[in-house]
Amino acid sequence: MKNKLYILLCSAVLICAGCSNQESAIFSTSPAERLKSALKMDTDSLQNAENGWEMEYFATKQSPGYTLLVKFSKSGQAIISEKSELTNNSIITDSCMYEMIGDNGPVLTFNTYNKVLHAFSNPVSPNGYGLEGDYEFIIMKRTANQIILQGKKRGTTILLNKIPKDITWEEYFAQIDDMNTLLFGGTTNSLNMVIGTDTLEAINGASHIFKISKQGSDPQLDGVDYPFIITTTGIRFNSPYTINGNDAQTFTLSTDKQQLQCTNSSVKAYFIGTNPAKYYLSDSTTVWNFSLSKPMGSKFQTLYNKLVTNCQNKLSEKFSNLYFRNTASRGSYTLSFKSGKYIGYFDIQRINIGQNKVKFEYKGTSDVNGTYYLNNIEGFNELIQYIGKTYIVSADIAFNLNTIKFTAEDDATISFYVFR
Amino acid sequence: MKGLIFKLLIICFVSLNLFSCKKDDTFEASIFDTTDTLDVHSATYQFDSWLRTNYLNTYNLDFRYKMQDVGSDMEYNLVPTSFEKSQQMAKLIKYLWFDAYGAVAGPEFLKEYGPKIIHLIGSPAYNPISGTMLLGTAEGGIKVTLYRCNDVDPTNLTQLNEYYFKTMHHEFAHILHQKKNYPVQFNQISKGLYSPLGWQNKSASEAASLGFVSPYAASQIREDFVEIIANYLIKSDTEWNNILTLASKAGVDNSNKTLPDDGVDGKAIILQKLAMASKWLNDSWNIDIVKLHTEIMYREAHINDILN
Repeated sequence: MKNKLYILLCSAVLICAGCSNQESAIFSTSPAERLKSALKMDTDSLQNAENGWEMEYFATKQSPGYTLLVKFSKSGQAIISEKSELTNNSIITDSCMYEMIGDNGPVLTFNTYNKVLHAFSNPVSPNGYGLEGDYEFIIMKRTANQIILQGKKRGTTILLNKIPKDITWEEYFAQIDDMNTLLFGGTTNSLNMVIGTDTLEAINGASHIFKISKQGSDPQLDGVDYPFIITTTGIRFNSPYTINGNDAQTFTLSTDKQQLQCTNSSVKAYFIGTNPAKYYLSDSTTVWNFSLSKPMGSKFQTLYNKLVTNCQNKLSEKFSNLYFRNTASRGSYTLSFKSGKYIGYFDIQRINIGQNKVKFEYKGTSDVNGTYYLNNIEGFNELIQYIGKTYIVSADIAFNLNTIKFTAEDDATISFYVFR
Repeated sequence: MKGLIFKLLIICFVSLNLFSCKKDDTFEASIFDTTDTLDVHSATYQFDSWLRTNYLNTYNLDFRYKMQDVGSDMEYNLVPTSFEKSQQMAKLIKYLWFDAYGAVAGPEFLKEYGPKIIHLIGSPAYNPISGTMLLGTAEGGIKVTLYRCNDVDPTNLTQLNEYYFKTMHHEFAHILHQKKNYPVQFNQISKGLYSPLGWQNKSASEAASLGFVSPYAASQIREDFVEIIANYLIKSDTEWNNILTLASKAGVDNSNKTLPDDGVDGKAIILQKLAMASKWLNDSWNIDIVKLHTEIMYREAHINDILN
């Protein structure tokens, strides 16, 4: 019994002390006042971006990202623009009302219909679900140039980045377009992604949802989807890619345009394009035309000029084209040319000698026209000699192999570009 | 004795607990603008002022056109109504619904019994699994939610009636019968013919032949009751007679196949239901349904007066 009494007395003393009516205030204002203050600061921040905000919008965690440009006026109106395949690649703009409300903390809501933003939420199409995107966003974090939002229903992270004052929205969209073309405008479907010591294959970039898998596996079967958004400087994953404890999310195009380098990883992480030589050799259907708009090496340019001049002087023909292709009628890969109305073929073979190189060999056979020009027009013999070399294959932009460069291994002045 | 001490200590313990917290905290000032003035700098000021005059002051009603996600059904994927369509809806609803009731039942009627909130939603509320969509809801006699407002076309009366005003009269009839129940005899008229899950598979003809003014009326008794009122109010005489004609024939299903005789005189049933609903409106609410129908038809004929 004594023990019980002690326990009760001690408890009473403790309770007395614990229930002192003087609670120390952690905050100087009430929760309601703090919320009101936060709403005011968020509203001011939204409105104070003179040229508006770039909204990196992901409808769901499985969806590709879209760039929306948003400007918030002091009258409660928001103007939103978009240019994407959803808008048939033209800029569309609409206005609506917005408001900062106290809901799940400070929430930004666009509460009248905007045909740009609400296209992501409209259930009408497809299937009565729509794209299932949010139009109400919890403000998670705010800095001078960036606000981090979280979709209220879907929980996607959406960034608002302040747009610099000295750029028009048209120019901004053009920068996004250029980046998209540069990275995914080509027909190569595969990139290599390196994180630390791991090298992975990333395919389907043009859809803005990478399918990423370990090298050697079947990316279509084993790949995991990673949606991303194109930015003016590169790409950003909706959520970080993690492997062996290393995260990678935001990638910026390197100055030489050869890599997308991760800016927020603890280890070196980057994307590089497919090896151009490997890509060229794996392709058997493309006609690769020699480019006249890209510079040729000085020796090759001299030779090309000679072919043009001699065809004109001797045959009154316009020498108009050189190209590589698989020619069914010859049963061979060929170096082909066109002079006037005549087309000729020289049978060659491409030899894979590894790394970034391709070796061409003239088989010693050609069609009737090829033989005629070889025997009668000065310069064609030289052309055959030039082509029959080992070439280093490269690309000005590693991600877009629509145009590739061949440079003779033993003479850098023998070089040319081909394009598909 | 020991037990007594123990009990006393417990009383002290509790008392100390109570009295030590005797001083209440003082409340902070309200965060809300209690003066409730409209912001003259707002892009919506003009419309908000119009709503205040024509809805809040006149009908004691909060017309919510700026969508509140928390005020909607979060199960659905929904979008707000555009500002332009909200303005059209506000004018149409006042003219064809509120003022029509005001002209027949007196200006105080809707102020007292009408909904206190109208909430506009831009999209339909789809239920992709059942293949149905919600056009409107009435909650607790207080709030009416109208969907699909972004599709409103003020020049298309058929669409206005089918998708919006039938819904409004439908939902308001729900509000009225939630305050004063409809006659219990109504429950007996089509007993056993309701199909809460399969109504959407019925054609209009099949429903009419069974004594329902619409397929949805065949879902539940209370929906049947309000569908009679809503359809009678918004249908022209020709349209109403077409329903009765359909009801007097054998039903034809959605694949255009004539159904076997159901043994029900659909037309007589519909007229019986209308008579019961008319009497209830008159006895319970002093509303003459024929007068109200006539008033609505007159307003529909003059709808351009408010749109221009």
